[in-house]
Amino acid sequence: MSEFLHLRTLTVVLIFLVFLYTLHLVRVNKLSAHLVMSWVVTEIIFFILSISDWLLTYIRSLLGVESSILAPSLFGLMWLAFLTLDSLTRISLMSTKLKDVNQELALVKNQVESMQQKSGRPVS
Amino acid sequence: MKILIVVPAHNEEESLPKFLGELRSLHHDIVVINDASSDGTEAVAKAAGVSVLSLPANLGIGGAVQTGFKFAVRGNYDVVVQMDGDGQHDPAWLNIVLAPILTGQADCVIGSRYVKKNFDSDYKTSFPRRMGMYFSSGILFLATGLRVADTTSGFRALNREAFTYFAKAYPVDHPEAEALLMLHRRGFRICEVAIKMRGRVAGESLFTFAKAALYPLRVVIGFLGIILKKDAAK
Repeated sequence: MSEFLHLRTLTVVLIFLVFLYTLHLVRVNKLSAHLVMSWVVTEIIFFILSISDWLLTYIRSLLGVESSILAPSLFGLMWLAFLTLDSLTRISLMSTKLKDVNQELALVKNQVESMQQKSGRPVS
Repeated sequence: MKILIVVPAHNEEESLPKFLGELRSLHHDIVVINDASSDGTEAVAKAAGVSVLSLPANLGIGGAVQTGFKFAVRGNYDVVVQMDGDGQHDPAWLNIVLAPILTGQADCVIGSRYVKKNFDSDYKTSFPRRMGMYFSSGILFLATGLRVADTTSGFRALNREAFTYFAKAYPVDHPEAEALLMLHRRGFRICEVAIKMRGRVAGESLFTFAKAALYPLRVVIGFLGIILKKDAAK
């Protein structure tokens, strides 16, 4: 029992630290508050689950796997995999947009320089 | 017929002046895509009197070449010839590469070092690059039935339909083999013509041993991506 309590304390502390780190990343502008919402909600759910015996037992009975301690963790991992995939999707979309903006900037800059040369104005 | 020569360049300040001088003697329009070089690539290209598109962030060869295709679409060009800024592509072969496009025999022409009837035995290809090329040629053949000996050659000519398609969708990161797959899937005609290439004048190849080791995996993933995804250019 004490081993279980020790594991639970460790889990709660770790989740809390990850939560604090997430907030820190938002504060220093390395994470967008909009993009991080799903992670914050996940961390809060994990936190509640790790301190609530009743909720864990209820979820296990809901899933019909009362005897399996690992079942909720498996669902947690699946959810994290989904969140990772969601993040990769966003990164891919952003990369494409960044490439397009980069190319457009080079094309427009060239166009402006050509116009300046034609009008006899110095190219900055 | 309006012909544009697209020259992607990353840190090629030593190679560019002589190469651009040779190209200018052909009297075609030239655009250098300066892929966020940290040296004087932009300055030497401008000094040579050609158009320069300077990318603020490094996009790699695929993103740089696609910028040239977009420039060609906006400039209403008929044909684009793509040549590397390291000076390995000899402008003396330009008309040979252009010929099948101008006669309407092909939509994309590859200047190839390895066409059997005129194999460029003088050109020394590094072992990793050669292995990568054999691999991508094999994968391309399996995927399309198309036999291309020099899948990694960056000396290519494209007609308006082909480069307009690439202006909308073009692969990044060693895009040459993937680009051929994309063209084939859209029904474009591809052919190879024998050319000879020169050794690199200065600078270092981007195809390092580490990149070569990952190249087969990149090709497979790239091909799977193209086969799986809906056509973005439609």
